[in-house]
Amino acid sequence: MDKQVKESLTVSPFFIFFLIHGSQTGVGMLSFQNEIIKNAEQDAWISVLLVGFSFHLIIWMIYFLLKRSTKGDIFSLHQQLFGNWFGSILNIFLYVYMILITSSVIRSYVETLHVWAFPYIEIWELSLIVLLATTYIVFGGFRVVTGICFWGVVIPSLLLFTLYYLFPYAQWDNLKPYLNHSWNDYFNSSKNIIYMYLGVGFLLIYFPFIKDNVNSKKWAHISQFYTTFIYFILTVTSLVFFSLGQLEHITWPTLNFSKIIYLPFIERFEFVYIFTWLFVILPPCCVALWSGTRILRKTINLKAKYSLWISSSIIYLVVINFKSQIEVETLNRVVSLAGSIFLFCYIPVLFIWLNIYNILFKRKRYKH
Amino acid sequence: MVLFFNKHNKKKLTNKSKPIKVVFEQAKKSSDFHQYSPFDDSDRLLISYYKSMVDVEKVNRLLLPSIQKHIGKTTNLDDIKNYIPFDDLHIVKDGSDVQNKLMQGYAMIQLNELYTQFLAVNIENNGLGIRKNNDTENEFTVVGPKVGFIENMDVNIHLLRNKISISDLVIEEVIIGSMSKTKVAIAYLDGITNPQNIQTVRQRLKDIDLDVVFDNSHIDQILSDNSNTIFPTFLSTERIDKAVFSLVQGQIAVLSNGSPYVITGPATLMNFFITPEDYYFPWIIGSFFRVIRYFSVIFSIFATPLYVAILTFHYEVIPEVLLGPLINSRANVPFPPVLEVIFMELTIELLREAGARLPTKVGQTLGIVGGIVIGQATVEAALTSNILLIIVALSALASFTTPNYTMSNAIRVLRFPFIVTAALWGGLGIAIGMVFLFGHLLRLKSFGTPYLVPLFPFRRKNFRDSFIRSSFDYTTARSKFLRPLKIRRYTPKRDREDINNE
Repeated sequence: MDKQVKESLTVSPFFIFFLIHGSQTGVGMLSFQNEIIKNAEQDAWISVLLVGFSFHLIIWMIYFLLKRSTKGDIFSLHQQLFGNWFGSILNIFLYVYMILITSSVIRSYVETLHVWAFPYIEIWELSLIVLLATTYIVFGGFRVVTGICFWGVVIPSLLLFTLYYLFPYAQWDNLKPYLNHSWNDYFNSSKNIIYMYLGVGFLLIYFPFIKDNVNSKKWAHISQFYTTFIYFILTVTSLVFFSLGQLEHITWPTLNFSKIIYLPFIERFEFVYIFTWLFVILPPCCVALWSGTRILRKTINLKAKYSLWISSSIIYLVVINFKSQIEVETLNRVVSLAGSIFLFCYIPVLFIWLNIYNILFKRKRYKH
Repeated sequence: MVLFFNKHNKKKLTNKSKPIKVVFEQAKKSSDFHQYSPFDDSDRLLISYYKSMVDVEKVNRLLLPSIQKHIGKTTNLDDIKNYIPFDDLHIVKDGSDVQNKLMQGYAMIQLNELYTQFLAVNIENNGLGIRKNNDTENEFTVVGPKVGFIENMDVNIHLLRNKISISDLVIEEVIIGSMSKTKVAIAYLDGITNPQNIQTVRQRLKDIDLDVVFDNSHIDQILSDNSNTIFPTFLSTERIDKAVFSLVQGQIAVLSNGSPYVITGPATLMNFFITPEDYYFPWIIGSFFRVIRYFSVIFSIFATPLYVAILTFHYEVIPEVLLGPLINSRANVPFPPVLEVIFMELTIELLREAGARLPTKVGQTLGIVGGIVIGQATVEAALTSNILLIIVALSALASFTTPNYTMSNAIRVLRFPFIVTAALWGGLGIAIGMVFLFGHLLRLKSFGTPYLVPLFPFRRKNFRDSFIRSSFDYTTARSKFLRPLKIRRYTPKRDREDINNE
C-alpha cells in the first residue's frame, strides 16, 4: 500500500503545522467574536477551548481513516468502502464543499475590503484579482501552496505583536463572573465557531503529499493546539477590550481594536491589518482550491489545468452572485453548517463504518 | 581531456574526417595562414600555422633553429620530438584534427608532403590581446583581496587553485559553440560536492548548442532552470574569494574562456546578498551590514509603491502632522501620484543607464550634474513633489547596496509592477503583487534546488549564516540543501576562560 505520491512532490511533515494552522485562520478571525458571545457571553473563551480540544479527537480519527485507505486520501477511501459509483458521488459532494469554502472566504474578505478600504471599487473586480492570485498560486502545485501557507502564517504573525498596544486599555473585570453558564450555553457557542477550525478537513486530501505521513501526527496536533491558543488569546483580548454590548454590534471587532494602535507614521493601523489579511485568507483559499482541483481530477479524470480553471470559474460565478452583506452571511452560515456536518458527523460515521467494515469483510487484509 | 574533447566534437559537428588537402586549401584562403619549408628543398619538411594564433617569437627563436640544426639526423617525426624544446606535442593523422589544432595555435610539421602524419607543436599565444590582471572593480570591497578573474580561463583556474591547494579541486573541460569553440570548465570539490548536482551541470552543458559563446552570462541563461524570470538563478562573480567560498560550500562553478565572470550554483536568494566583507569584519558588524542590506532591498522595492498607494487611496493612514508637509509639497503638482512616480523613476533609470554607457570620466560628472539639476528643476517646475524626490533617490541608493549586479537589476525592475498594482488597487495591489512575487519565487529552482532555502523548505541550521552571519565558531557546517557528501567544514578550537571552563 503506497500512501505517498512521488517523493519530489512531497513536503516534510513539519509543514503540516503551516498547512493546518494556515488553513484554519481566515476571515473568520476578524469577526468571530460576535458569534461566540451569543450564548456563553463573558465565558466564551471556554467554548473556544472546548472546540479546539475536540478537534484533537477529529485529527485522531482522520489519521485512523487515512492510515487504512489504499492511497492515503479520502477519495480512495470512498471508493474502497462504497464502490466506484457511490464513492464518486460522495467525492462530488466534497468538491462542492471545497468550492463553497473558497467562495465564502474570498467573498467575505472582499466584503471587508469593500466596506473598509475600497467603497468605489466594484465587488467583481476585487474578487477577480484575489481569485487570480489564488489560481496563480495553485498552478504552482502543492509545494507552492505549502510555501504560501508558510508565508501566510509567518507574515501575519507579526500582527500579533500589535496586541501589546491594547493592554493598557484592558478591563479585566469584563471576564467576571467566571463560569456562570450552563453546559448548554457553552455548547451552543461552540457550535457557532466550529467554522473557525475547519481547515483540519483538508488533511483528508493532501495527506499523500506529506513525506513520512503516517508518523506526522505530532505536527497536526501541535498546529491544532497553536490555533486554539491564538483564538483563545484573541477571544480574551476582545472580551477585556470591548464590553459585551459593544461586541454584539461591532461587525469586525478584530479590525476595530486595531484602530487603537498608533505609530508616529501610521495613523489608521487597520489598513495594515486589512491588507496583511490577504496573507491570512490565501492559505485556506489555495488549499481548498487545490483540493477541489484534485478531487475533480481524481474523480472524473480531468486534466489538472482544465479542472483548475473550471473550479476557479465556478468560484467566481458563486462569488459575484452574492451581493449584499446579508447574503454573504447566509453563504458563510451554509459553509459553516456543511463543515460542521462534514467533520463532526460524517467523519465519525465513516470512522465507525470503517471499523464495522473491517470486522465484517476484510479483516485479514489489514492485519498483516 | 583530449579524449573528451574529440568525442564531443564529433557528436556536435558531425564533420567526418576531411581530407588533408581540403583542410589546407581552405586554410590557404586566409592571409594569416603560413605554410613554408625552412629549407631549400621544400619536400623535405613543411611547417604550417596561423600566424595570428601562434607566438611568432617562439617560432623564430626556438622552433626554426632547432629544426635547422638537427635536420641531418631526422628521418621521422619521432626524431623531431626528441630535440624540439616544446612539451605539448601530438602526432595527428586526421584532417579535422589538423584543422582544430591549427585553430588553437598549434604549428603542424610534416616531413614530406606525401606523408599523412603531422607533428602538432603547441606554440599558441593565448595571452595575446587579453589584459593581464583585473582589479575587482564591479564588486568592490574595502577589506580583502583586490584581484579578480580575467578573460583567460587558464589564469582563472590558476587563481582558483592558488586558494584551494588540494587535488580534490577537479576541473572538467568541455567545448561549447560550433563557431567559437569556447573552452568551458566545471570546477567542483571531489568528495564534497553532491555528484548528482555535478551530473546535472555536466548534462546541461553537454546539451547546449550555440554558435558563439560571448560571455559566461550567456551560458548562465541557458543553464537556468526557468528562463522566464527576472531573478538570476546562479551567482555570477568576478571575485575569487566569492567563487572559492561557493566551491567550499559544495557548490559548482562554471568558468568559460573569454569571460571574467564565474558562475556558481545551485544558488539561493540569500546568496545574492552576501558580500565577502561580511566575513572579513567581526560577525556583529558583518551581520549589521547584512541586515541593512536586506532592509534596503525591501525599502527600494516598496517605498514608491507605498507612496502611490497611500496618496491615491489611503491618505487617512498618514498622521495629521505628516500630512501637512506632504500636502504642501504636492500642492502644485498637476499629475496623479502614479504619473509623478513613474516619471521620477524613469528619470533615475535614465541617469543610471546613461551613467553605465558613457565613458567613466564623463559619466560620473554627468550623473551628478544631471541628477542635481534635473532633480532641482523638476521640483521647481512643480512636476514632482520634494518628498517624492527624496523617496525615489533613497530607493535608488538602496537598490545599489545589493552586492550582485544582476540581482540589483532585478530589484530595480521589480518596483515597476508594484507601482502599477499600487495605482490600481492601493494597498491590496501591493499585497497581491507580493503574493505573485512569492508564488514566483517559490517556483524558482536552481539546478533543481529550491530558491528560497532556508526559508522554504525550512532549514533551521542554515539560519546561522543567512540573515545574520554568526561567529565562525558556529558556521562550521555546509548547507544541507546542497546535499554535500561531507557536512563539516572545520572544527573550531578556542580556549575559553568563562565559568564553564574554570
